[in-house]
Amino acid sequence: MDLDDRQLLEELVVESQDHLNAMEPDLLALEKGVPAEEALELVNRIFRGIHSIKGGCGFLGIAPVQALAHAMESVLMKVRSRKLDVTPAMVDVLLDGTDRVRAMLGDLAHCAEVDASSVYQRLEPFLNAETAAVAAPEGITTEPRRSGYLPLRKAAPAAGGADLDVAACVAIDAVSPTGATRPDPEAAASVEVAASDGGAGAASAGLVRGGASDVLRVKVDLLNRLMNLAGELVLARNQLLQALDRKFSETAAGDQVLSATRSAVEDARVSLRVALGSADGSSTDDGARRQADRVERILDDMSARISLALPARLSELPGMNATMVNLDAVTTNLQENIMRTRLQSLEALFGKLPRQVRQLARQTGKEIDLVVTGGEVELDKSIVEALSDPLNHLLRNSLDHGLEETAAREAAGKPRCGRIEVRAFHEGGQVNVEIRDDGRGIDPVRIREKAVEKGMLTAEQAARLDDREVVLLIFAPGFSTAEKVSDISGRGVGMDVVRTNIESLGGSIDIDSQVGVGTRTRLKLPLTLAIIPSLLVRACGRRFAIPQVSLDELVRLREGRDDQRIEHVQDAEVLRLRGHLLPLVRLSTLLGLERAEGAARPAVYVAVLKVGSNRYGLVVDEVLDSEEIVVKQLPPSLKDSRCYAGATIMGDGSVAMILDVPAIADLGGLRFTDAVQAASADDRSDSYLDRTESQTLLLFRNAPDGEHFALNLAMISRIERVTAGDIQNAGGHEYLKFQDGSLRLVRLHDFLPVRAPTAEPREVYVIIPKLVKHPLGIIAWECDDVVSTRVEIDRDNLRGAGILGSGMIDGNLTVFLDIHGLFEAAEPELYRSDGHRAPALERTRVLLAEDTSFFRAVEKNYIEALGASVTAVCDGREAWRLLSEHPEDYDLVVTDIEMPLMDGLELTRHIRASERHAHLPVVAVTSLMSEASRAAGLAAGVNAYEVKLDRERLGTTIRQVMEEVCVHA
Amino acid sequence: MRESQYVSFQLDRHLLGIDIQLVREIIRNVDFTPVARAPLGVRGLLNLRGQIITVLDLGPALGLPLREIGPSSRCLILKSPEDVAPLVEAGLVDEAPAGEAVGLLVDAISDVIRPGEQGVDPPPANANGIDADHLRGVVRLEGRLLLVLSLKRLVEEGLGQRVPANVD
Repeated sequence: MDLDDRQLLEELVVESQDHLNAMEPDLLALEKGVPAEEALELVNRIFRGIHSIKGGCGFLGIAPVQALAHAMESVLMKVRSRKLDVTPAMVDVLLDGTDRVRAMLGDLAHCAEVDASSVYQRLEPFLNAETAAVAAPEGITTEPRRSGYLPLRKAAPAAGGADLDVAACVAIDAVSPTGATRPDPEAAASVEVAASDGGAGAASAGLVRGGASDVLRVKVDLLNRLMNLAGELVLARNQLLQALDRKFSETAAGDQVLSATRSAVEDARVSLRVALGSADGSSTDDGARRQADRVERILDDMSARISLALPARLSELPGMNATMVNLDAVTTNLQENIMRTRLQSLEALFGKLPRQVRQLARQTGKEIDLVVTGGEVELDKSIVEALSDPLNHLLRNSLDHGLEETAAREAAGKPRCGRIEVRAFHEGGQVNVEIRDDGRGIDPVRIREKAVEKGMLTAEQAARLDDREVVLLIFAPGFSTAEKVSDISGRGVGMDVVRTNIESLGGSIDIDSQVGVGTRTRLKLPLTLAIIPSLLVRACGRRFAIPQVSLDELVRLREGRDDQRIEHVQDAEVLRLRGHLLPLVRLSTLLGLERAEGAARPAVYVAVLKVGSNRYGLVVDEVLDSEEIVVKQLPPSLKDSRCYAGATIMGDGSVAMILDVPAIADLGGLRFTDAVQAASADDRSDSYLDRTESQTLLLFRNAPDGEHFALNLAMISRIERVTAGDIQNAGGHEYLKFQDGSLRLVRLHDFLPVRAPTAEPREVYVIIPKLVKHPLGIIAWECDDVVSTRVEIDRDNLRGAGILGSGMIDGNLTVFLDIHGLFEAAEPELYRSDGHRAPALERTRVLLAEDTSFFRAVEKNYIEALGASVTAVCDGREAWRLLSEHPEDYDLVVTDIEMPLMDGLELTRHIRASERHAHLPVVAVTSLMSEASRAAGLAAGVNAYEVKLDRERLGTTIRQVMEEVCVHA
Repeated sequence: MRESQYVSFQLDRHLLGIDIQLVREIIRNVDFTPVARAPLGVRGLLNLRGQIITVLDLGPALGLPLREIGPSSRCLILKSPEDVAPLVEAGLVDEAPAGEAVGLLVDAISDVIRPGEQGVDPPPANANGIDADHLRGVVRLEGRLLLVLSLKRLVEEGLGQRVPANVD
């Protein structure tokens, strides 16, 4: 076969597949029932598709496809000419037909071996039904149907044979009265158009092809090469910028030298004149005179030349700056657009769903209404491809486990027909794919039982988890809730595999379920795999990139921090972090860059990395920066290294390796279960899930490319979206009319060293906090997300008034705001007077026990603001250890209630039970205030019970408690 | 054997050559990023206009020590199998390098050599300590021997895709 033919064939196959893809949803829609005009349009489209396939295959001599397509086309022809009506049986056989055609096209060399006999058999009755249909009144083709719908019965039980169906259908057709009460001219017109279109299949197919001619097929390989070149352009641009920078500074230095030289020359001239003038009287030495004249001329000349050179140099490269800015913008744009060429709409994937659901619905006997939206959303080709399996799995889950049997639905007062919604949409630079059903939901009670049954949790641990955490247990390996194994959702290879797959795409999965109401699963996916956000680190002088999707948090180890120490479990190093043991891998040792014995060097940074539900710490020397990197495939010869996921090119043109986070865990020989067990043997408490309290945070930004900020949701009263016009200026401040009065607004960049937006958007968000004495509104450019997370706050990295510290959230370095500090900076007058009233707690030494790093930072901040000194620890046991070892060192204990190892109540009971500390005042703080918990606290012996984030009340309470203690003493 | 031209280069004490048609370009930039846990001959990765090149040191495969990087060191970038495929089909060359972009790290580039009249002789069993398996032939020059490498095999051994034949 010559080259041209091969190319033609390739094109034919691709084009035919496109037709098949388009036909499937049309057939399903037809079966489902659509208004008559639309039905005709559908039939015409399907007809054109199959006709084109027939034509193409006929032209290239692919007889089996041509024959089958011809048979299918003939049936459709009859539908078009109103000799046949669409029935489920017909749709069935046509769908089967498309499958066979697809199979044949998939392997052209063996297409004759594809068995299509059953399809032919079932097409037969339709083809032979002519006589029956002809009996129908002639007028039917032009007169509108009264119902407006093609007659159609709901999913017919398989018992009814094809022949029967046709007969029934034809019968219905024949008896269907045509006397419409009001003739519909429009419908008639459309029917006529369709009829005149009948013989012109080829022409219309040509038309379709013509319509799509602004789309061009491009080889992925070519796009990849373009990507490379664009990347290279970016590098060249960076190097050019650097070179120019150097040049400019050199030029500036040169100009200075020139200026200095010019003044020196001027000085010399003046001196020479003076010397000449003073020598005038005794003009005896002509030779000296002539020499002096020559020197003067030389100096004149030099001065003139310098004067000419200087302005020329200063005006060197006019417009260079603007050009560079332009080049910069164009390059970035180019890269983004080339990237976009790799994007593919989800349609290819979503288009298949109705068919699958239809099949599954038949198998399970459930009635299902599937709604698919957002097929136009685009993602990287490789992600779309890899999404197919997880999406199928989730859909099957919804159908099989989620939706109840019809009878159960009716009993529950729900509509008979279950609803599954698949939706894709953009959000925050990511693509979300949501699968939502209105089924029975996931029952946390059942999951708890199951987890205990399977030995994943103790009954006590299970009881401690809240319902949300319990639902997340279905992602644990080997967990499946199906009461019976079915061939639809299969055995429990389920959700952990789905989760792993999604995570390997750089995405995340979240599930939300309400018993009796339904389940919503949300996948968050990156737009592309070609560019990923990453954290750059250094080990043994080499740079590495860690994909940020795998990065949980970053811990900086400092000497003398008892709550962050490296310990040894057998031979392995572990980090004690918030009461948990985190297995450690030293990158330098793992890569053989450093001998294990030589690892005495103190660990500085630990990147906490996620592998499914497990975590481990990677020890690195230095943390460099967060950067978006272009992922290059790993050369095959490095595949065996088992520690790299790819390579990337850095801004300076050098190559850095991208670390493969799961592979490194493997290579490092980490056995997560062992580590956890070792820890629990030691700690007596450890559970499947980290027990540290999570906090709900609002994430927002002050500028589109600016820092990420976080505020605890508990501190926010509301968030308003306002237009710039709503903001009024008065006395140098900005105000928003709010409720009865006006609210002063602050912009973060006025008070914090953070990036300011370059332009003023038309709409901004105003975050209105609560639990503060003098509320101000914080202006935010964009509210990104509300997340529930456990995050370690680093108080050293970033500090200043208004900043609590920083932490890693979703791989972004995030600044935690200290609202009190911020507001104090904004309105010092208001707070200054407060300060005067505060009684000094200067000599009070407070022991603070709080497991959540965020609250620890906040509370420490609050209490220190009162003047007291604070020692903070992570749990009750640590607090009790300090109290036992240094009984005289503390005047007050402030403790959280919910903590690992030893909770606040137990700590209080220990304190009250001991002789030495029986009278030590204890203030309990909690994020949940209920009468029952307050009673429990008081029963344990706390002096006072307060809400965590209310600075005013916490301050007042502490003062009160301390005063009482003084009075009693 | 047809009339070919060979890029000759210095590796240790040897003068080696490969068919010029297999060479994409020769670059002076040998500032590659070393990669740990790579096969012995794989020294690291190099960025060539946005493409990642595996820098291969033929030393180990030829029984020589790893090359030292010096001012005359060069990287000889090989053509991809796709680029070579038409030449192979046309019978112009009869070997294609392995399935990744490879650059050979050499001590110095010498010259382009046309064997001319005397042509290429079949390799002796052992030429200056290099196994005949790794050679396609030799060209006798004035006072020197140009060893024409059997590149595909050498590269695949170097990249760890093939076990060396002479391992005991």
